[in-house]
Amino acid sequence: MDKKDIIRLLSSRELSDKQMLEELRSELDAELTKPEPDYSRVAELTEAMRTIAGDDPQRDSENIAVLTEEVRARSRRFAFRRFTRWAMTLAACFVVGLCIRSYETVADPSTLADRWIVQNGSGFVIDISQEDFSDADPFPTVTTSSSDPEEPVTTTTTTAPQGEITTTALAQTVPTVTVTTTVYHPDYGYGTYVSDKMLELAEPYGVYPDVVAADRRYKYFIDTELTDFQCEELTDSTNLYYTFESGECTLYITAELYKTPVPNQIIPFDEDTEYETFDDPPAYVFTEDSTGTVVFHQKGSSDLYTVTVIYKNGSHPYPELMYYNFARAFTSAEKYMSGRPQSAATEG
Amino acid sequence: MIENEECERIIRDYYREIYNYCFAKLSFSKQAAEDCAQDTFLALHTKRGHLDSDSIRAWLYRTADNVMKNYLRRTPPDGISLDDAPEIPDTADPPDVTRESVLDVLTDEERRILETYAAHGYGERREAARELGMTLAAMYQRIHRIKQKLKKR
Repeated sequence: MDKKDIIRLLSSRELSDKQMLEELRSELDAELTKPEPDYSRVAELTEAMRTIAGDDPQRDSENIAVLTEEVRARSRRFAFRRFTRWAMTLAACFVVGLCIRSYETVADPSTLADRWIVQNGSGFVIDISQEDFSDADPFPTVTTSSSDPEEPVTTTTTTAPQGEITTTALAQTVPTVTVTTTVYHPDYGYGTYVSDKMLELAEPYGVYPDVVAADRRYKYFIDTELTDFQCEELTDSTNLYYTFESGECTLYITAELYKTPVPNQIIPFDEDTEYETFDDPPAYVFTEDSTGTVVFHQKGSSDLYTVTVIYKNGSHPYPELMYYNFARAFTSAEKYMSGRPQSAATEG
Repeated sequence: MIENEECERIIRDYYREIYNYCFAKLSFSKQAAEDCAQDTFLALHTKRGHLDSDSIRAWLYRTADNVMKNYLRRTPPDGISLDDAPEIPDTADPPDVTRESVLDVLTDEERRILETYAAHGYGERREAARELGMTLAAMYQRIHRIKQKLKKR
C-alpha cells in the first residue's frame, strides 16, 4: 500500500469516526442481547467508543472523588439520623429528668450534689459533671474457681486490683469472677483485632480513641469481625460507631470524642433495668436480658465510650464482667501501640 | 453485605467502566452519562446491605440500565443536551495528508494496521482485527490515534 492509497483511505468515509462508532455500537448491542453478556468485552467496546468520541477521561478522578465524598456524607447522615432518632425518643424523659433535677435543685440543693444519675420513666440521664464516687462500689475482691472446662488456668487470688486482670467466668454459668495476676491462657483471643480496626478507621479523621489494651484476653474477641463503621463529625465532637460480630456476641462500641466538656448522656432502658456504678475508670453498667451496656470515661477526659454487648446465646451479662472486660480494658491509643505485642501483629 | 470501605473501592474500580457505558448509550452526552453513573453508584450505596460483592459488576450494569431508562423517561432522547457531546465527524474529516511527507511519521505497525484494514471490506473488519491480533475495539482505537497523530502534524 503506497502513500497515495493511505491518503485515499484516511480521506474516505470508511475511516470516519462516526463510521467506527456505528460499528462499535453494533458490536455493543449484539453483546448486550446475549443472556450473559461478557462485561469485559462491553467495557472494552465502550472504552474505545469514548476514545473515538473524544471524551476526556481526566474528569474521572474528580468525579470519583466527588462521588466518594457524597457516599461518606450519606453514611454520616444515616448515622446521625439513627443517633437523633434514638435521642429524640428520649427527649421527653430527658426533659423530665432535667425538670426533676431543676426542681430538686431549687427545693433542696444539698440533696442533688451527688445525684449524678437520675432514673426516670424511660431511661437514665447521666450528668458526668456531677459525678461523686464516694458511694460507688469498691473494686470487688472475690475468690472463686471456675468449673468451665474451657476456662483458662487460673490462680485464684483475692487481692486489690493490681496488674492485669483476666476474666475467666462465663456470663451464664459462672456467677463470680476470678481475679488473677498471672499470665493468660493462650487459647484466648487478643483485643488487638478490635483495637487495630478501631484505630485504623479513626485515623483518617485525625482522632485516636482509647482502645482495648493489647494484652487483654476476652473470649468474645475470638473470631470477631468488623461488620460496620460510621463516623459522625459534629460541631462539638467526633463520634465513631463500630460494630463487631462473632459467633458469641454482637459488640457495639461508640467513641464520642468531645471538644467540650462531656454533656449529659441519655441511656434508654426500662425502669427495672439493673445498673451499677464503678470507679477507676468511672463506669455505669446497665444490664437487661442478654444485653449489657457500659458507659465509661477516663477521669478528666472529654472522651466518652459506650460498649454494648448482646449475647447470642441469651446469656445475661454480669456488671462486673462488663466493667472488667471493657471499661477496665481500655487504654490510650499511645499506650496500646507501645504495648502491642509483635506476635499479635499478624493476628485478627 | 458490602461495607462502606468496599463500596468506595467499587466506585474507584468501576466508575470509568460504568460512565463509559452510560456515555455510549446516551448519545455521547457527558452530562447525562455523569448523572446516570452517579445515580448508579448512589444506588449501590443505598442497597449495599443486601448486595454481594462477587456479582457486583453485573449488578452495576443492570442498575445503570434502569437508571438510564428512568433518565430517558424524564428526558426524551431528543431532549438530551448534546451541547457537551463531542462533534463526531460524519466524513473522514481527515488530517491534512495531502502532503505525502506527513505519512513519514507513521510507524511500520501503524501502516500495517491501515493496510490490513483497507484490505478488508465493510463487514469484514473483525477479520482484519483478528489478523492484526486485536479486538475490533482495539483496532479502531489504534486507527483513531493514528488519525489524531497525523492531525497534529
